[in-house]
Amino acid sequence: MASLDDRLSLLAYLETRFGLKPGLFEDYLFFRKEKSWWIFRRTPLLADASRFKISRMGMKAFQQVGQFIKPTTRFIQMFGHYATKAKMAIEDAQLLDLMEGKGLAADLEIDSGYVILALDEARVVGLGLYVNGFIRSQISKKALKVEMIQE
Amino acid sequence: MLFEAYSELIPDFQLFQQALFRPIPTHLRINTLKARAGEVVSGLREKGVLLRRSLKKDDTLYTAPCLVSPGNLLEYFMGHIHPQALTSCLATIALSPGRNALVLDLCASPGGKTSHLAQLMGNTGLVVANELYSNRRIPLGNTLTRLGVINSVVTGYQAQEFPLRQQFDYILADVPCSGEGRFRKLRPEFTYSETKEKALLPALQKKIIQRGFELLKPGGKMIYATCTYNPAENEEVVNCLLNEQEARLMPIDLDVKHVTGITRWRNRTYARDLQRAVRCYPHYCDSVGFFLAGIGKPG
Repeated sequence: MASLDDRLSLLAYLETRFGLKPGLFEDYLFFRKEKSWWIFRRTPLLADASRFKISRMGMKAFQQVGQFIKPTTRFIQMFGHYATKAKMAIEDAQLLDLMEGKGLAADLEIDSGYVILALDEARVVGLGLYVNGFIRSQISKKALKVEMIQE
Repeated sequence: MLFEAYSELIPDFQLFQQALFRPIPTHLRINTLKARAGEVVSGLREKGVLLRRSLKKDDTLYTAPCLVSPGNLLEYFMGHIHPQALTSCLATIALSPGRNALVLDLCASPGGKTSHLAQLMGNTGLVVANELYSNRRIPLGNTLTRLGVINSVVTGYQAQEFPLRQQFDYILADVPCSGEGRFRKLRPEFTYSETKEKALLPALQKKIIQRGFELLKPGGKMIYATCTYNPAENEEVVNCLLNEQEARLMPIDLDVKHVTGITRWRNRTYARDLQRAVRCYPHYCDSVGFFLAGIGKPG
């Protein structure tokens, strides 16, 4: 399991950057595996599972990129709709531009860093990186193909 | 004639034959771990994707008659939908694990049923998703991740030798099978053929169902499922378990047209309770042919 320091540091990042309250993650555990953290629903049954040789557990939630923590696309899709900061509503056409590698000009009152990209309240797509007034997609082009947006 | 050996077994055999020459329609499950069913349905309708509800009692299962490539939808990327045969979903619904249950999926890849189990459990409790082959654990992991499953662990044991270290409330034994139910004669070159490997399947299936039963808690429930019509892989396997263990067959309540399991096949007679098992045929439910048996362990 991730150390308490690790957990507090992850939760502090989520709150500071995205306004995600630590209480939102009370029912979840974080596990560290090398340079990534995995999220798992808290359950007393975990002791039962520990009797087996486990090759994978829960969902990858964060990756260490250099000195930064980067939430995964799937984690953001699960929890991003609770965010109150660093979240930007985009249109399909803007998503298409981002996935084609174009920067999206934005004047946001936040520090440089990751931004949640959402088509609307219910449809969180993933993360962008906001630097020097532009957002660039952090979503895998292999997973989100341009045809999906044009459908 | 295809599957002629089953002409006395499958009712309305001519209709069955006709169904084999039609493609299996696209079927979608809406993943309520990441989205609300109504919003997904209306969002897809706006894109011109028309959905027809598959079951009266379930608002997450839909047929999309005109949709060819569901994997090319943004909703697929976001994990709001999962293309999955209706009958495959029925196996999970027949098991219906409760919240906070301990569940074992003995043959889990590619993860459609595992993620459906997690959905029915609201991401609570724990699902042990077992898959022997490491190359098949990759798509399993991808499916679970895309669909936001956070209550599962993946193991890599042989299903028939899954360690007896822990008993489970619910077990899904969707065993390797000859896959006859998936066969559709869509091109002249498509043929269905028996192979040596397929002839070995019943022996493996009998081992898996036995191990599954051993792994079940008293009062627990197991679903034995295949996508084949072959009685040697279906009723005969379950019958073998009934002969050797104190297992009882539980009724399965399904919201689609189906027929009961058989009690005679060629020169063999099976337990009368096998009428509680379910056979799904493509000409009745327009999906993959499936067999389901609900097995209980007395408490």
